[in-house]
Order: sequence, then C-alpha cells, then structure tokens
Amino acid sequence: MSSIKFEKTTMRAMAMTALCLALVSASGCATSWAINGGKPFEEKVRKEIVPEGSVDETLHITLFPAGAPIAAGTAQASTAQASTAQPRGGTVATHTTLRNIPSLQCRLSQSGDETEHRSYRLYGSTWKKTAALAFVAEAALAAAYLLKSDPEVADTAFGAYMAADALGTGVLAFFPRRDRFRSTRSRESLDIHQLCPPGLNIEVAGRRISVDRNGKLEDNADEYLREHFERSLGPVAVHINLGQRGQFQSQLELNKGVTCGWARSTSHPDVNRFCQPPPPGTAQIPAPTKTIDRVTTMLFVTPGTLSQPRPVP
Amino acid sequence: MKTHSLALTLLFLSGLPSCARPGATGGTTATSTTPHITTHAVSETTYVATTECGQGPYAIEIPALGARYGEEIELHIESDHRVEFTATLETGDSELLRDKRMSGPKVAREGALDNQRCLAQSTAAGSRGGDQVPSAPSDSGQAEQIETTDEDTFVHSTAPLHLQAVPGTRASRGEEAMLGFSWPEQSLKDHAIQAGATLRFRIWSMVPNDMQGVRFVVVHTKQAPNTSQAEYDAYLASVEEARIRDAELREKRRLEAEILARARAEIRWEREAEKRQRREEREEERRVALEAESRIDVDVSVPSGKKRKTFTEAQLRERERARKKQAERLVQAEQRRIENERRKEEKRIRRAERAERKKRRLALEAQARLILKVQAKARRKAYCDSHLKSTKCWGAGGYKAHAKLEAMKAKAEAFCLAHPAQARCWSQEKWQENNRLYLLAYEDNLATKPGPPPSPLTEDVPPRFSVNSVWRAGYWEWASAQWVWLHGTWQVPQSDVDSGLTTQAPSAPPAPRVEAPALAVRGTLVWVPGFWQWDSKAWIWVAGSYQAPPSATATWSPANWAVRGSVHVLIPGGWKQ
Repeated sequence: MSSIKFEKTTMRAMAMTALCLALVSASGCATSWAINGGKPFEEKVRKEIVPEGSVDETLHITLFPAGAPIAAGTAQASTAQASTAQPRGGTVATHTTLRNIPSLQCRLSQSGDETEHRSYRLYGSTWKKTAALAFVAEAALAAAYLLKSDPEVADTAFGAYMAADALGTGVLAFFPRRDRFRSTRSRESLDIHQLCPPGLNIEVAGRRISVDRNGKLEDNADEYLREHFERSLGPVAVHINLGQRGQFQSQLELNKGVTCGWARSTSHPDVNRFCQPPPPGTAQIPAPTKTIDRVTTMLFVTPGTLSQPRPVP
Repeated sequence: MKTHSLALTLLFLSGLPSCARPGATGGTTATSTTPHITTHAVSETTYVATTECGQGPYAIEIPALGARYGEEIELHIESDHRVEFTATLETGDSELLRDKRMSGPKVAREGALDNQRCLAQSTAAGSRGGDQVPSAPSDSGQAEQIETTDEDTFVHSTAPLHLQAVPGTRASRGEEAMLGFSWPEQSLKDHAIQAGATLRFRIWSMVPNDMQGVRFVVVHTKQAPNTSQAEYDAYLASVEEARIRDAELREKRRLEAEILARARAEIRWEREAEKRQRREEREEERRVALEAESRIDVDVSVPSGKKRKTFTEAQLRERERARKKQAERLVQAEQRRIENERRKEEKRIRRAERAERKKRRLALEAQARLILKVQAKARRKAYCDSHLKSTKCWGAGGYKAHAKLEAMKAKAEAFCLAHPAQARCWSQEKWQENNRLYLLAYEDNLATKPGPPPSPLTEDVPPRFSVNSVWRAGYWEWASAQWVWLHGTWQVPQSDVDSGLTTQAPSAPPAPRVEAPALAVRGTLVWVPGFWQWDSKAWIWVAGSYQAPPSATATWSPANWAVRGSVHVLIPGGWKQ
C-alpha cells in the first residue's frame, strides 16, 4: 500500500539537464520551456494514495473463436505460473504460436476509486541548478559564435539567438519556488491473475463446455463452435458455478466481425456467407475489411469471490 | 430383516483428559462407589429414506447440549445389502468432518453396490420417462422446433432432503458403518460448539443406493458424573487435596534424597583426597631416597657382571664438574622456559587488556554516537516544531502538507485494515501467497472434485410403457465435471416386448421433435432421444435425456412404433451390445 515516498529527483534533474544541453544546440532551453507551456518539473514529491469505497471485481473473459495465442507444447503448470499476476505490474502473455482451436483467456481485475494526495515543489533548487547550468552552456555557445574571428551572418544570428535564450534561461533560474498540494481522484484497475476459475463453462451450440484454468476448452470445442456459427445461434453464454459462493453468467456477443474473422481464420469453404459480400464489380474474394479475432465479456462478481483463493482441502 | 455387520470407517475416541476426569478410565477401574464420568445416552433416533432409491443429499440435524464434560454423536448406517455414502458433519458454516466415506456391510465391503434396480445401466429394454408434454400433433409431419430439457436449468436446488424418523434402535452394535464426533476434544479453535448449536450430518452418494432396509441411526451421548454434581465436585476436591498431599510428600522425599546424596559425595571426595595425599607423600619419599643413593655411589651405573671400574681423584672431580654443568644447563633451560611462559602470559594479558580497552572504547563511542544522534534528533525536532514552514523538516508545503499527508496515510491504513479483500491493500507477501494458493485452488477445472449432488428433480411419470414395466426413478450422475440428471424411466421386460404387451395406439405418432442436449457431456453418458407415447387419449412427448450405458460398447436403439394390423405398437428403446 501507499507509503511515505520521496521521489528521487536527481535522475530527473540530470535528464533535464541533458535535455536542456541538447536543446541548446537546437532551440534553446528557455525557448523549449516556453514551447512546452512553461511547466517546471516537480521536486520533493511525497504522495499518499487513499483507496476510496468499494472495488468492482471483474472477470474478463475473452473467446478466441479461431485459435487463441496459446504456446504450443507448454506444460500447463508452467503456463499457469507465467500467467499469475504481479502487484501493480499486470501481466503480459508471452504466447507466440497460434493454434486453430478455440480457447478462452481470463483476466481477473479489481477496479475502484482512489485519491492521490501529492505535495511537491516547483522551481526548487534542482530547477535552479539546472537552469544555471543551461545558462552557462548557452552563454558559452553564444559567445563562441558571436566572438568568432570571421563570423558569417548565420553564425551571428545563431549566437544572438543563443544569447537571448541564455538570458531567458537565466531568468528561469530566479523564478521563486512554489510549494503545491494536489489531490487527484481517479479510477484505477489492478490485474490480479489470469487463471480461469473453477466451475467456468461456456454454452456452445446448446452444449456446455468445460474450461480449464488456462482457458483450454474441451477437445471437440471447435466442432461445437463451427456448428454454433453455422446455425447462427447467437451469443455464447458464459456460466460460473462456484457452489455456495454463487453463480454468475454473462454472454459473448458474436457479431459480424467475429463471425467473419472466424470464417477467414478457419478457411471456411463458405466464407462469403459469413463475411460481407463484395460489392458488384470488385474482386470475388472479400477485401480484408475489419475482422475481429476475439470477443470479450465481463463478469462482475462480489469482491473477494475470485480474488481470495480457497485452499484445496 | 437380518442385519449384517458393517465396516467401521472412522471413530474418534471420546473422553476428557484424565486430570479432569478422575476415575474415568473407561469403567474398568472405577468401582460403583467411586464417582466417575460415564457416558449417558441423550437420544438414539432412527431414520429411513422415504424413497426406494436415493442418493441424497440427506440432512440430519442434532442440537448440541453444551454438556460440561463433553458430548458425542455417532452416525450408524445399517443395511442388509451393500451401500456406500459420503458423510459430512457441519455446524453453521464450519465443517467438522468432511467427506467421510461410509460403506458396508463389512462382509461385502469391496463388492459392487446392491443398487442395480436404481441405475440406468440396468435397463435391459425400455426407455426413459420424463417431462410430459401434451401432444400437439403436427399435420405436416415435419420436425418441430428444438426442445430443450430440464438440464437447461443451470441452477438446481441444493436444499437437503430430510429423512423420516421411525421408532427403533440400533440392531447391531459396533459393527455397522459408523462415524463419530465428540467435543470439545475434536473441536478446533474456530469451531467451538456452543450449547444450542445445530450439528448437521449431510449424507450423499455418487450413485443412488437401494434404500430399502437402510437405516440411519444417530446416537447422541453426553459425558456426566455417575453421582450428583455436588457429590462429584466434593469428590474432585478431595482428589485434588490428595494429589497436593502426594506432591508435597514426593517433594519432601526428593529433598531428603538430594541431601543424602550430597553428603555421600562429600565423604567420597574427602577419602579420595586423603588417598591422593598419601600417594604423593610416598612418591616424594621414593624420590628423596633415589637422589641420596645417586650422590653416595657414583659407580652405581656400572653394569653388573663387569669388572668394577676405579676412578682417579682427578677423574672424579671431572665427573663432578660435568654433572654440575649439566645441572646448571638444566636449571638455565628451566629458567628460560619459565621466562618464556611468563612473557607469553604477559603478552596474552596485554592483548586481552588492549581488546578490553578497545571494546570499552567502542562501546563508549557507540553510546556517544547514540547520545549525539538522540540529541541531534531532539534538536531537529525542536527546530522543526518551531519552524513549521521548513521544507527541510516537513517537505514541500511545510508542516501543513505533512500533517495532511500523514492523515491520509493513516486513513489509507485504516481502510486497508477494514477491507482485506481489496487487492490494492495487499502486501508483496500477500500477493506471493495468493499466487501460490491460486495455483492450488484453481486445479484443473475438468477434474473438479464433486460435492453433494443437488436435490433430486421432481419428475412426472409418463404413461407406463408396458404391462409389467417397472419405474426406475431419476438420479444425478457426475460426468464431465458436473452433475447430470439422468431421468427416470420405465424398465420394460423383454417378455412384454415379445408378447406385445407394450403400449398400443390407434394411429401413428406425430413427427418426432428435434432436441438438442443442453449439456456437453463426454465419455460415459449417452444422449437418448425423446419419442411420442400414447396415454389412451392423446400423444405425450417423452423428452430425451442423458442415460448411462451398461457398457462402453453398448448402443441405444431408439423407441419406435410398429404397425400390427390396425394398431400401432410401441417398441421401447433399449441398449444393444
């Protein structure tokens, strides 16, 4: 949870200095500051994040009708290990190989309001040192160009510009410091894990198909899904039966884009039926219009229902 | 009815610790006059199921008495044929015993269950019953709309069934399947059972058991003294006094023995010291005698048997001088050794002193640093207290911003304390622990361990398929990680089919309805399509359902209607190998 945390500004200051020095050779530090809207960097930052109210626990379920990015040959255990989340970090699936078997991806997250209270300083000592350094660099550069033995017009112009910018930068160094306190309320989402919960199944072509914790469907799921698409049976129902902890359900809407994407990915012989037919006079094969390879639904559960794991007895 | 003995599955011993139960030794040593704790029967109730076949979940509830010396409940299952149940004991939301297997009788413990008449596999010829749908024959003869069945209803009731209490007690003792629980011994810290709490046995099975002749006997006992409470308390007090007296006596004897042993040791030590002193005196006398002898006779070293050598005066003096030199060398060597040891000792002492001084110095320095640190801290605090706008003390915004942020920090901590389920409040350790638990708890969903089945569905029995057909009730089957309802069916003997005793209708049935199984069930179960049945007035649609085949190679032959003269005769569906 949030704790006292003074952000290190040294690195930022160094980066700012380097940026200023780089800008000296281009547009100048003061000019750049003005172009950027006159925003100084923050120093002596301390922030506290206060959670506000309850959270929404949501299971995001994504169906890949024509194949999910599941790494082929990966052991289930290691896949599960790789897909567990880290605090505040989120996870990114590292799957690479595409297989033409429908599957699910689950992602459990909690989202809720929180307020960040932040105290910080503007035009502080680091700012002043940075500006002074930039001033010296720009002044030296201006002097070098202006005092050239045989200056050209362009050199003189650039030297004058640098001198003017150095003056501006020098003024920046004398801006009075200001302390600020800011409270910002925002809605934050936190990924918890990417395991499909026990009791999850989807209803395809009138049949209920079980899903394992890595989102793998039963072996003949592709046949059921083919039947579902061909018979245009509408959305795919999603059920979770957690016994005494509750039962939840939702729907995966299979719109035209999803249907077309599935038909193309599986090289369906009647792909024109599923995709928008081409306008008269154009090529016979449908143009690669927008196709969707996945469909997502969200299941809202009581907070703690899925995020608080129950040990196996 | 003859009742065989059943297997003893689990028995937890009852009884309080012996210190709290004087005289309670199972009744073997306590005499009739000595107050002691005995087991008193509270109730013994026999229950039976109201159906011939059943798999539960059944529930039996017993209120706890809160007896001072403990209570025990036992669930006995008596049966004259092989049955198998799973039982769970719970109170409130806590499970005291979880999924304990109870099977019996003992003589047939490992055999097949005697429940063939309750299973779908036993259908030699026949079809299923199920929901009756009044007929609406279609003139077109085309297939009607897709129908779904009861399995469409995803949420089933899990309310347990209550058994019927009947008079009677246990028929056999100690040999039937029994599950026992006693408290407070077996109560966990979180499961303290208070007086008035309800303990509930939940009993179920994976497949239906033949409940004919199966009796559930719940025996509730309590531990209580065999005398009045006042007498027992007085007895306990007297026992405690005796125990204290015994302890005091034992302590006194221990002290006496210790003194005696010490005196003996001292005497032994004195004797050994005397012996040692005498031995040292004897050795000293022997040494003095040897020295005197060596001084008197210088030729004592001459080997015997040789001619005695005579020395001149000068040679004797020379020998004496050499001996003196030798003695001096020895003395000098001894002195050098002593000197070296002394120097070594001095060095060691100096080193130890230096180390001690260094240690003291370091301790003093550390103390001084600490004092300086404390003083600096105090000075800083005093400075900061008097300079509320100092950003060095309070950060940007001075004390005002600092105080505000501190208040926010306290607010955030209090919030997280009150909301442990929110992931944003979890520490790094909590995240790691949860990740580990997820992998344990989210085991492969397809291998989900079954809990009790839902309550049995209410079925409408369709018209009898044949004259001698027998109704087999529906039940829940665990397949593809879910409970699937196998509808009840009329089991038709082959003789009825051969003799034409099945249902006869005056006209052909309507076109069959197209059905889609609501559940995706793999492996063991087979989808049996529905068919039209004639009930003497109208056509009734008997919906399709999943059924369990008698073997892996068995196939289902669907029901159909055959024309025999002017009537149509039902040929019920059945399994074919």
